[in-house]
Amino acid sequence: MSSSRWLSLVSPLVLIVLWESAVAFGVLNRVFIPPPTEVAVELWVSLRDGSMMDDVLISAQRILFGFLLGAIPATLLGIWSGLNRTVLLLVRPLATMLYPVPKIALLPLVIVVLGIGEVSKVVTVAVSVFLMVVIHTIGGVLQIDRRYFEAARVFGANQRTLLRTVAFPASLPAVVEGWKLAMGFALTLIVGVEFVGASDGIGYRIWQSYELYAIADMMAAVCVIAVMGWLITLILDEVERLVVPWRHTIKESRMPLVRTWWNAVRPWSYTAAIIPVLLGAAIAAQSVALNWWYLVLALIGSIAIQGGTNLMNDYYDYRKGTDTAAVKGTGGALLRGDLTPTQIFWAGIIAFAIGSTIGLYLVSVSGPFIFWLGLFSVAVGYFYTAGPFALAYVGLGEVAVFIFMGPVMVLGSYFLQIPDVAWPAIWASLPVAFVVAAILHANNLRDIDTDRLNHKRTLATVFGREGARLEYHLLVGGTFVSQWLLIGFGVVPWTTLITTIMVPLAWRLMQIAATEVEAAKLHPVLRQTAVLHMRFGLLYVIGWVVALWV
Amino acid sequence: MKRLLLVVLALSVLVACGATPAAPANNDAGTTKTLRIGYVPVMIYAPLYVGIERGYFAAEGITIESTPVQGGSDPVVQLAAGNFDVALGGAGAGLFNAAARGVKFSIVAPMHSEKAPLTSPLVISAKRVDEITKIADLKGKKVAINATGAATEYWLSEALGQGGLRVADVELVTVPFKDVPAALASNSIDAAILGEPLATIAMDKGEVALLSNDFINGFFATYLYMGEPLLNDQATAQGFMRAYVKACGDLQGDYMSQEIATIIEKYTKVPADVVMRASPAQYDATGTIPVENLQTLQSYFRKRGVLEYDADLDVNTLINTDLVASIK
Repeated sequence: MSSSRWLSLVSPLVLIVLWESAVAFGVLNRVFIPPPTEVAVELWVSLRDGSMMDDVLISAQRILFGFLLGAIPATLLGIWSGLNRTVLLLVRPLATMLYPVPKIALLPLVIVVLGIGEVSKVVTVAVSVFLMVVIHTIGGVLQIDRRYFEAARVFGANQRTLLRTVAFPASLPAVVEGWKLAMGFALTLIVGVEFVGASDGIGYRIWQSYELYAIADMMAAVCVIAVMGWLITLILDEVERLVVPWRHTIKESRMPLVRTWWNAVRPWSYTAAIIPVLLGAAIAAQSVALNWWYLVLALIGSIAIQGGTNLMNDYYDYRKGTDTAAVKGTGGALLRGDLTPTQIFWAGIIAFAIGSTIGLYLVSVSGPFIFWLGLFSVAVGYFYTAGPFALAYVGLGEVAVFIFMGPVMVLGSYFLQIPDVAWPAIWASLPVAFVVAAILHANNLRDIDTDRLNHKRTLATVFGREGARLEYHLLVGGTFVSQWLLIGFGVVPWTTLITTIMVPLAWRLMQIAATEVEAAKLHPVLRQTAVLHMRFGLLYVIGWVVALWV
Repeated sequence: MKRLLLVVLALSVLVACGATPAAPANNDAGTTKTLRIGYVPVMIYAPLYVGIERGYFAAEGITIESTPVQGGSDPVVQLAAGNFDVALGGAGAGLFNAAARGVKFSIVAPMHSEKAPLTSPLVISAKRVDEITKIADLKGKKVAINATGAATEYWLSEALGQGGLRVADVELVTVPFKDVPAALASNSIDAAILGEPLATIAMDKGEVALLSNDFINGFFATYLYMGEPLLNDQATAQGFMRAYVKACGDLQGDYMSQEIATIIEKYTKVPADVVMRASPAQYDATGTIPVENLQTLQSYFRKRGVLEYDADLDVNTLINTDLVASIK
């Protein structure tokens, strides 16, 4: 998947999270509606024993044959009807009359004639596909501007040339649209078809598992159908791109929107959201076997809250007029006018909603401590730049980030695995807390002049440039020194010393910070501090993981 | 336009008033309770139809709001979900799986049993009576039941047993009862279990022929179910049970009459003359639950590999004998 398609995963993910939470909180009764986690297990079992794939392939085969059997003659007949009035008058009334007849109701009769085997199922699909495509194709040909035909005739086109050069290409968008609809419909239909007189296929599986009250298996099959539908759409979109390339250009112009969002949520900043969660789990892993499901949820939740924070930050910075075109500190989507403030605001709210939903689920499994922690996280995220006492504007940005993206998050992730407020976990989070605060401070050091102009109070504007340089040195230096001290006290395992290979990078950054004054020269320091955070964090986590075996 | 609306409104109010049933005269409490019940609209559910039409439920101060549903575990699942107060239905694999999953219900009484001539016989296409003359001829052939894991699957296994066959010896497919004659006619299937009155209707039309109708003797596969809320309202539950047992009492021995056939027609849309000729189901008028039949079904489905849980359920935990005992 290309990096810009990630947005299309958001809504299914939201649905799954809502579903899981609804079951976890008893809004949906687990006895009747199994949660996604249970369905996933069932799906895994049926994928591993091969039975699910067997059913999928059989259904796909029925759909494919039915589709080809219906769509090919329908396309030809549709174009012919569009060009020839007599054929149109013969075909269209019948097609429009039969179209709304539920073909599934005729299946028993089809079985009488064609038997209960494959043929009756394929034919039922084919008939429906045929009618749908024929109607769309006729419509497609009829809506072609008559002047195209006239122009072609003026240039001496005969009936065959007309078909090839005008009727076919001009109706193709409508034809492909008809194919797409018919394919989607075929998928719906096959389930119904397999309810009657089938002994395999995905529809049969759904029906049978409900009969047996094996509802997790039933839901697994339903999810598989959803995925099949999605795949079929993807394939048909590609087909459309191939046969109707001129349509493609319209779609292409939308792609930057996706990229715009990608930039707006600043995915590269997620290292700050990911490292503490991993660290908390790695520390917990020293004493228990990890619950991977909680870890994954915590990661998603933390990324969502980080994304929400970034979007809210953009929104309020824009409203307060801090981010000017001169400083490309943030995604800048608002400045360029690619996205409206309202869009950014609501996207932020949605991200917080996802984060909170996951958070609430985690609360339901691990108690109120995580609740207060989650509430605190959302509050810090929101008030970072929002509201009258925005943390970032009163000089408390670094402090908030230090506490929140260090001890608080590490402890939260640890607590999910071991429900205990453990001091060693808090101590062990300090190196990460230092380096994450350094990222923000690198930002503030760079923006020290513009922030002064905008009366944005940061620690940098308060301390002045010299003080700010010292602070940067303290934060980056503190990262390593705190780690070494903690190793000395036996809180942190010596295996984490692999982080030492990051000392040269840290040293270089401290030197640049000590000498440069221009924003443009300091900008790489910001980027590189984020890189330092990510690499240091990962190595630190790896050190903890290696300690499991040493 | 407004005046027309008013007239329509007034008319509907009148109709609604007229349609409200009068309170039963011999109801001591003087109030009626409405019980929602799920059933499958086929002949074997006759006790429900008779109980309603002969006023046994009304006499207990109970108004029945009956809703036809699909077969399988559907009525019981809807009961547990709170959509029904009472349910009637078969004890198939779905029922046991649902119970194992935590679906809450109690079996409070048996419903129908079958003995020769059976209400759900084994039939073949009328055109093939020379080719398939005995059950052993079905080896390797396509045989249909109405639903996987339904009690009819046990019926089939018993039928095949008459010819020394097991279910594994045939190709088992599922075809709804109503589609069986068509499927037999097109040779899509070779034999099927077919519930009455469809068996009689299809034989009337010369579509199907009996292969066997004596492979079961007094086995109970359908039951009466109640949920916790109704069982807690003991007076109403007892009232329902008294009416139900009374209706079953009316359906003993050679009970079929024009009146009963007409009642059944009303609920199943099967012409009364067909009902008159169909093999009638047998009912238990004592409310004694045959625990061993339930265990037999569970063991059978266990062998078929359609149970989702590992250790057998204790069927005694699924039944409630107190209610019947309390009305005796």
